[in-house]
Amino acid sequence: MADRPSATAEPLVEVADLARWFEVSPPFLDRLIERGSRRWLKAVDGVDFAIRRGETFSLVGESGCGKSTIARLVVGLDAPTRGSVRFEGTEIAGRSRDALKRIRRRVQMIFQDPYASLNPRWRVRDIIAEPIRAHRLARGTAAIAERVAELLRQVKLTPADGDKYPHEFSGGQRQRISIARALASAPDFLVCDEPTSALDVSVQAQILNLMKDLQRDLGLTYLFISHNLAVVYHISDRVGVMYLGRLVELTSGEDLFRTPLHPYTRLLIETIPDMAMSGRRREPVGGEVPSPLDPPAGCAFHPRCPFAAARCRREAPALRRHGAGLVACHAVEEGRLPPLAGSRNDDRSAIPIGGARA
Amino acid sequence: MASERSPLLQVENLRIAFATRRGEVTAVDGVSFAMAPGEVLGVVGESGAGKSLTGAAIIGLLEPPGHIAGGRIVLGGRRIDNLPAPEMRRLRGKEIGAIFQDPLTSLNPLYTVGRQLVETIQVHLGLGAAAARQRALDLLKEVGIPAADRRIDHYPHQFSGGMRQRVVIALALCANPRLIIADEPTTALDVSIQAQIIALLKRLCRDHGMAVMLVTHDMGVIAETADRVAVMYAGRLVEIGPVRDIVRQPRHPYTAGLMGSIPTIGGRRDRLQQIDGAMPRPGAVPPGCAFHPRCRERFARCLDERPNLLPAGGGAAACWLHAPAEAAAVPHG
Amino acid sequence: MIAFIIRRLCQSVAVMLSVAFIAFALFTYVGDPINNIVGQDTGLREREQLRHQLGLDDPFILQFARFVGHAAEGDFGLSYQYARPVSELIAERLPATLELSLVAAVLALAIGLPVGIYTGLHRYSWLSQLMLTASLVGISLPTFLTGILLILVFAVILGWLPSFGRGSTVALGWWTTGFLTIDGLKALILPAITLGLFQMTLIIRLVRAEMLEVLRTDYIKFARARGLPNRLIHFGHALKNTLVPVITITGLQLGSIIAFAVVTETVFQWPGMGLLIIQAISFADIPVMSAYLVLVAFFFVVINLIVDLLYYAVDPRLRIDRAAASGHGI
Repeated sequence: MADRPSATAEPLVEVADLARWFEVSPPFLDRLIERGSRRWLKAVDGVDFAIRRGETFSLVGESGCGKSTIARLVVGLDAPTRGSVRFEGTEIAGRSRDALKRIRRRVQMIFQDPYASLNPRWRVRDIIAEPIRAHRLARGTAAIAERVAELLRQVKLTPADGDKYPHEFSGGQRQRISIARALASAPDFLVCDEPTSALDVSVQAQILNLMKDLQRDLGLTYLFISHNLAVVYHISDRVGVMYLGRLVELTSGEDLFRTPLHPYTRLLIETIPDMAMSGRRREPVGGEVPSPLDPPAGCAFHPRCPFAAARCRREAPALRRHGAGLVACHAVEEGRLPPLAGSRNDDRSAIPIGGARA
Repeated sequence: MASERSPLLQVENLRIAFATRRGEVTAVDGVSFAMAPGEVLGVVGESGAGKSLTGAAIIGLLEPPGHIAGGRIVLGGRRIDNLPAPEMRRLRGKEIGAIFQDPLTSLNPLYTVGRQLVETIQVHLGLGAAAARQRALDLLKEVGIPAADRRIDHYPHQFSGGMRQRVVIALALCANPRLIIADEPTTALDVSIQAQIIALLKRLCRDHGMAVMLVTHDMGVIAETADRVAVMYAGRLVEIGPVRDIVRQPRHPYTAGLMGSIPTIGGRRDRLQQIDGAMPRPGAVPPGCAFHPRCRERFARCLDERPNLLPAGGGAAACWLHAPAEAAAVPHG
Repeated sequence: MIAFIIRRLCQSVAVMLSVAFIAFALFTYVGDPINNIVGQDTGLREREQLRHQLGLDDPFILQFARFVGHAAEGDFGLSYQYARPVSELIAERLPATLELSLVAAVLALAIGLPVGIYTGLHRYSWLSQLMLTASLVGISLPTFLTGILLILVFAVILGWLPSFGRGSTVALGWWTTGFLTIDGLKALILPAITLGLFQMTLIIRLVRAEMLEVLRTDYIKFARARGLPNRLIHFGHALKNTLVPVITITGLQLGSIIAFAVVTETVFQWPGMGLLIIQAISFADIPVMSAYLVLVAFFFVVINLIVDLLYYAVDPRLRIDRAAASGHGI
């Protein structure tokens, strides 16, 4: 972390009250007969955050929390129902493609499935050259070939790999090709949607290291989406924890893991297997993530929360500042949350015994 | 580590090969290990290492053109790799069960959960309809499905992911098998559900005295659940031993690299340890030790001679570093 | 469920109205109906009188409404060729075609399903290869050739079965059936085989492809891992899952069979609607043509409705509110 250029003050990307609702009502006739009503799936329901230049901001959460939807909204692949996405002060949300052309070049995305995100009929060099051609960043076959070779070297592949087809590569190598393609347009900002979730752990280590090196060398800013807390721990400067479309905690990477505040954050940390084998007993918190179609009233986490009170069932908590970060939790506000007995610090063998016991 | 009781499962020199246009390709090359009754053996390795194939071979579900090309598999003293198909079929479900990765596709979407349970119970236990249904209800309750008497008549798509995997486990448990092969049972589930399913598997294992062969690439799951761990690389067994040993003090350079590349909370937050290069595909395995091209501690012998499993620490590792003569020598790249 | 049925009914009505529109447009705009009714020497004034009498100078919408009203009662006017009510002509011919089509479809299913399953389960056996090759005949030979060959072999050379016609029939109300006489049944065999051969081949190949696909799925693998016997796996689990595409294709094909039994009916001189329509087309007998159009559309619509209801019965995923079901997967 000492190697990276310090993040500057003005945010590169700013997201305000972002929401995306999907209508999933039964057809009109069904509603008429069964007297049903219109139904909405609130995939993202009012999210605010800002990403500073040069930093890695992670969104973490389980399925149904809306993190992938946010990724698409930030990149402009989808239009929000409400709220704004600003890139360097310019509004992205809901604008036309022409207006965004210049911004498009600077924002790129890396996807989860290395087998589905590369066109199997194109050679690798054409896949990587496409953004260069589309944004007219180099003219002439020679210049483009040169740039493609440079990009391949940057991701630790060889220029000769450009002649091959995607199916000739392993999952990790394909993800490198995806990264090279994303870098081809010389972007400032990369949105990475679970880029290592489909990879084996040793390959994941290679890709994560590569991404860190590239960030340092090229001054990139990352929005990193993941469900894997340990990966997020390694790569993030700041982390936002999401649950059913809302942010429940937002703070620096260090603080999140040293002193997690929100009960859901604590639950997530609890569920990470104990590699240090301290032999502590883990009691998994019961229940599953409720369906986003039918979220609980009040605080969405209250059915699974050991600290739920009457207020939690009625009123959804707002994201408020608490210490150095933001938390959306009544128990934290009211000071009802017991502190963690120990804390995760640099010593690998010290794992906290969570205070969240039912 | 060696159990006083006779082992439940013995795999000896198992070789699995595929017939391709270019000749026979070996995917699993001389794997040997044993399992004691009631123990949880984690089999860990990357995609393509041959761990799923090994599990499939044990339960007799290798898909052609894959076939067992050598070695033996012995269950409870009885050789099972060469059984005729009807006999093997009788074994499946009754003595050996299996659960797979994706609970959504593991269940037939057109039949109720109850019907699939009752059918399996009746095939193995020969109970009448009412008794079978009661047993199905008991199984559902045991795996933690709430409101079992209502949900037994629901279809698979009406359950959430974690609940579906519980149903799958209940199905595997119908006839009380002695051994369950669990192939990536938690990979397709959310993290908080993974913890629940792992806890469930451990409890059932204990209550039923069932042994579990837990095949996965997720070392965290193994650390939580397994008694012993077997590490596979390029179709070979490279290390095996008690889980504490493997996790805290791996003896094989590959295992060490693997452990180092796992991100954990509380460690340093800079670069993860990485092993350069990639695992060789079947048919492209180098001579000598399969890992030597990527190993920082290789020396001359590693390039020519394939190492056997040599005793190391509390278990065994297939690495010349542990050969008695080499222990004194200084390894160099 | 009810909403589903109502919605499908509304769609069906919409389809029928569109088809009626086309049929009506045929009626009004292809040639002058007056010319077809009167001779050449009828004077202009008489023609105008006739036009007015028949209401042919009323506005389009009015004429269309009248047409739809009459069509709903089954009244399509008089045939130009026979000067008899079209509905009578159709009623005479319909039973023949329907019975033939039904038997052809049942035959195709009865043979196609088992053969398809067998070739799916025993992919590489020589018997499967034989069956598949033989079934190619069904697809490659034109219908009339098959029909003629069958007549040659079974009627002329062997003399077992009649070479044309429907045999003796029994009248039940306005319906005439060939099922109740030996004669009638014998006469059905060759034309039914000819007509159903294509569909049989289609079903064989479809069922086979589906079985191969289903046998690769995880739930079959898991069923095997549970030690279920092959019989249960193949016929309990696998077969049911192949049904949805088979139902679709069979339904669509049934409609085609009814509509296009023409060639077979011609070859076997089968007194069905096919023959009627061929003659009507050569004569430009528009009332018959438009009635035929509406009738065939009606059959397709009804068959599709039944197919959709069958889906509901077979696949439980369609029964549950789709939104709630998909909510779990998000």
